[in-house]
Amino acid sequence: MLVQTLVIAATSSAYMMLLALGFTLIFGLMRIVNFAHGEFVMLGAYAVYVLTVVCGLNYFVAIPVAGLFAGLCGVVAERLIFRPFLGDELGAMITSLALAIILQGAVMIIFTVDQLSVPRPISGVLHFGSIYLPNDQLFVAGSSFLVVIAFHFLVHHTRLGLALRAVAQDTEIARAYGMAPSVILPLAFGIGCILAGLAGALTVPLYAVNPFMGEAALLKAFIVVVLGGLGSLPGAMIAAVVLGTTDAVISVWFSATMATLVSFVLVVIILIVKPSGLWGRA
Amino acid sequence: MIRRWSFVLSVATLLAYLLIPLLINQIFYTHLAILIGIHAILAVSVYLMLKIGQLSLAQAGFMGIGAYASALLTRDVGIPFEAALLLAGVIPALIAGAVGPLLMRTKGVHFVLLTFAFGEVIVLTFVEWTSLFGGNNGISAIPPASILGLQLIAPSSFLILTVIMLSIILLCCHVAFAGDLGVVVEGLERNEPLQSSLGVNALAYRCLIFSGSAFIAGLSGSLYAHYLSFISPEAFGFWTTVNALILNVIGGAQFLMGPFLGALLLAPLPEIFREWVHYQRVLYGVALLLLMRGLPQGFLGLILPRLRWGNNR
Amino acid sequence: MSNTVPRLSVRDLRRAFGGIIAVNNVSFDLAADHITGLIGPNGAGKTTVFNLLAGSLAPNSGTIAFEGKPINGLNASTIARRGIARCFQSAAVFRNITVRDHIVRAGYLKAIGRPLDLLKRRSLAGYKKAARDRAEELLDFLELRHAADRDAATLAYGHQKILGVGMALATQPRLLLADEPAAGLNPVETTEMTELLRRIRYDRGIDVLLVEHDLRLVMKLCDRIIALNAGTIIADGPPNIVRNDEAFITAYLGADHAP
Repeated sequence: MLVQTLVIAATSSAYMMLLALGFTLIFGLMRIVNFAHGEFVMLGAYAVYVLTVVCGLNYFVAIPVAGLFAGLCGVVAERLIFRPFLGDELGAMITSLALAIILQGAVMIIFTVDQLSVPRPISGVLHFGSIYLPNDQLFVAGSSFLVVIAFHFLVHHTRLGLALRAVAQDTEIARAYGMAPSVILPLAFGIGCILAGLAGALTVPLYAVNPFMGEAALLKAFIVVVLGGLGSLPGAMIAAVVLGTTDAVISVWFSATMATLVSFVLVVIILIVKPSGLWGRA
Repeated sequence: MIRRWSFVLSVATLLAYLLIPLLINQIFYTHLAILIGIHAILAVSVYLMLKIGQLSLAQAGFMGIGAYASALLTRDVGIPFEAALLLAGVIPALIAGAVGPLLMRTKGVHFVLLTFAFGEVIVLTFVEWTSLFGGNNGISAIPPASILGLQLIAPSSFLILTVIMLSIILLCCHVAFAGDLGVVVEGLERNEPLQSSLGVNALAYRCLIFSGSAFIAGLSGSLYAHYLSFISPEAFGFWTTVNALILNVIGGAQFLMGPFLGALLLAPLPEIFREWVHYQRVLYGVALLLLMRGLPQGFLGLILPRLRWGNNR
Repeated sequence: MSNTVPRLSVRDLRRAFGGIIAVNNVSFDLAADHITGLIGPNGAGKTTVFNLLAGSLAPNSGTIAFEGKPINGLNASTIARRGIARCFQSAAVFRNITVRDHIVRAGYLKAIGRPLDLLKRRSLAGYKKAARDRAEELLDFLELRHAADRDAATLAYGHQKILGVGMALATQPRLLLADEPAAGLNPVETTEMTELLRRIRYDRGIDVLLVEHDLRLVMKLCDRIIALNAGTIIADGPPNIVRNDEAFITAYLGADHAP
């Protein structure tokens, strides 16, 4: 039971990290609370559905393609929709709601509201003595962590990452050093959406696909990011582990709704004590 | 002069909104009008918060508290509808008043996120506390509304109640904002630190508005519950608040009549074009985007350009 | 008010941000009928002291008493209602409201400072009448009558700052806290502002505590100067004494210039 819980906790933490890192990256750089973030998760999931079930592509090939597709949509959305609202938090927020509605509606038109499912590419369990670990969950946890590590490398050890961090600190200074926000910001938005798309793509075989799946993903991203401090990448990672673990423990022992409820209450209490989140800048 | 004209026009619109469906006398149109009214009342509660420059995503949650309170109090406790309607406003208002001082210490994005979380907590409570709220199955067999012993079973009589409620709410808001409260609220939205330095307790006033908005949202919940005689948690989620916000943006969030106009334009669409519901979502979204870009004052901003204020932030 | 109770009394005031102690055990008394200048190099803690006095920040420890009654930890609006007004470093006005209405509002807003005050309709009418009369008088005092009916947001920066002082005066304070009144002003406007502050002290008998970067202004205007460095008071006294104080010169100009 304990090890199983740990595996669920790891899966859930890794998934939350994927969701939250993109969300918090976009907020940190552009001050956009992206209510459409969940819809980018949905885009990743539907992309995998189309690539594998409709086009017959291999699932493991479909994952990165789906991520890139979500990222591309993100770049387009940033350029076409969000650009005029830079610096207008409320306007950007309402705009992101509009984008969420449009994406949901488009998916409903194309795929109807029915649940779709992607056959599980991985099956079987690993067992050590009396402990059984489902392979597909291990795969999700493992690849999510790989993506997170890759993202971490990108942010901390590449020129692009340096530029991202510079823009997040001070747009004007970054501009003075020749880092054009008009290039960096869409890229950052795209990277955030790639992470969201990958989250959707990786979990497709575990959950079913439907046009409303974005809301649950958004909720998760929200509470993690709020707990970690809006715009803080390390905060998002730590908070994802904290919430992923509590979520897993409570879902195993009580119920999934109870887990969500508890994490909400936890977040509300923490925010009341420290409104900037646990690791956020004041 | 413009003020008086806009007041006359508002009253005329409300009257037409009441009389046209009554004259047509077809249940479908009466039904549409009632839905418009309920949506408009919720949208007014969102409007109140926008008036102090804050977006609350907990409004549908407060609507839900009002709906469940009213339903349970009439069905299980057996108190008369009039009292339940009042309590449906008072209970959410008290809850908002209690959490207000905590939530309202944050502003802007953090407040939006907190109210989002709070709204979800409310809905999850309805889902989880099955013994009281019936879980996902919700509550059914809610008794119809009745005023002074008169049962409002016919849709046309319920429409009259809805329009009266909406008119009272709009009138109260109008009177309140035309007076000293309007001065304070205007200052809160425009420059809160300055306003505080002049001796105004900004937090207390923001909590007052938050409470008032929860009161109004609760009333819309009560009407909703007794009209449909069935409620379930998902009706009071995040997207219901977002819809109310859209009504504001489309109608013109700067104007008290904006939310009503938005409801008038948008609330009937899903009922009229049932088979086109998915296309409607896209249409809603695109309309919202275009309005945010090209017409941030909403449609009323187009009609009443001389009344506009406060868009130069 | 008897002379033995100081207008403002600050004892062992302390405030830290994270690990940084911005204000460390600061104590001073302000006697009535003074213009006092609070000065210090960047990061000395003077803005923090100012915000603690105005109620925008709460102290970690220590007490602040206004006319003998403690006010530490009260919120900004309560402190304003007690008789301490503040004006802002950068001009602060409401959009789309005339200069006259700014001063009128400033004159009666504290009468509706709390939601329950809205119910006292009758006494409110009197308040408003008084505020309107006072506004006319203040328009002359501030020399803003020529702009009375203009939207305050369209005023020149210097005039907006004068309007800020005017709104503070409209609340009928006994102590005015001025946060860098000359910041962002040109030399002519600075002279006007200096003159205005002097008249507030001598013509209206309102005490002034100002935080200011412009040393010349402070030396010229103030009866007393409190110099802060690294969160503690390093010099306190009349301008001509503080000007020659060794610790003060070291903090401001560096050790080389010490006599």
